[in-house]
Amino acid sequence: MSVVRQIRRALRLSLQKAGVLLTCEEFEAFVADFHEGRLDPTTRAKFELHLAFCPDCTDYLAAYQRSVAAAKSALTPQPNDPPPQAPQALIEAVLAAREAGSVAD
Amino acid sequence: MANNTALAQALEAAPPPRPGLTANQTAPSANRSNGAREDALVARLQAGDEAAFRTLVETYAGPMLSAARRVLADTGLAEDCVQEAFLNAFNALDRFESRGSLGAWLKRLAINAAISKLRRTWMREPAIDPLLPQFDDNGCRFEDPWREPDAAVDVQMERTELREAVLDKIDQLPPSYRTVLMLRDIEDYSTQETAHLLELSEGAVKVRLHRARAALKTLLAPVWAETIS
Repeated sequence: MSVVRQIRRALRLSLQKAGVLLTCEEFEAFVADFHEGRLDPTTRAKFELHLAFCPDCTDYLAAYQRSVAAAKSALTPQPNDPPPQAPQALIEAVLAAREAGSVAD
Repeated sequence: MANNTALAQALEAAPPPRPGLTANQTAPSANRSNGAREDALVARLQAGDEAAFRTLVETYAGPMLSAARRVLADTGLAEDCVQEAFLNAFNALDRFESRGSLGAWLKRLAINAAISKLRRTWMREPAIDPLLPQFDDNGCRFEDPWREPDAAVDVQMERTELREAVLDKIDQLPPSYRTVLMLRDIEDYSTQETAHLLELSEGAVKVRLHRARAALKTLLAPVWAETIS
């Protein structure tokens, strides 16, 4: 851990003990609402104050937001992607089941 | 034959779309030509045109399979869901109102079938706790230093191998968490819709969504590290 990081951590601990700053564990409870822009102004200010003192939560939040964006991007069809295809056997099975008038349990 | 109760449940969770419902259920106005094509197809289906059924299945089976596969992380089970969803749809086509989106309705039926299948295994799924953030006695986070990759996420996701790595990590999430992530963050279902589909409280959906994202962040850490080194 770098010296700067250690100093910020010590300062953060003393501010947490004084009740001025959220703990990381308390901060965690607000991450999803922050990500979705749902924090009220007071809570958002407390959240951002914690971030200013906490490199660990700053790193965590950056990685969290990147992960959400990556999931969305990976699962969203790209402009050049061909439309998703189903195997021909599945298509024929669906049509055959319809013709037979049967519905699988 | 599926019993009537199963069909009623599937359709109750994904009723044929009607005007005034959410964007997930209705065709966007920008998509009018697509909507017109769907309207024509629905009219042919309701008239019993055999060729229209083939067009329907050939057009929508792929997107439905893709959606069910995302929930189940199992192609074979997802195919079963597509079949079940189509058969439910055939039985409800006469109730379909043409101003809704046929594709969105069919996809929703496939997702519902997948969730129904998945729910049977939820009690046996692995715990997510080892993937969640850890804190010491002072409430301080244990966190490895993070180096932001230089490239933007969208640019990185153009690399097929990286995209596949991300998809693989999503598949590693416990199923109930993966499903909430998929419905909320990918399919853009509301918290309320997700809660209804999964038979959870809205609070439980919010907690699961956050935990799913946090767990995915843990699973993706080595993927990002590889892109830097």
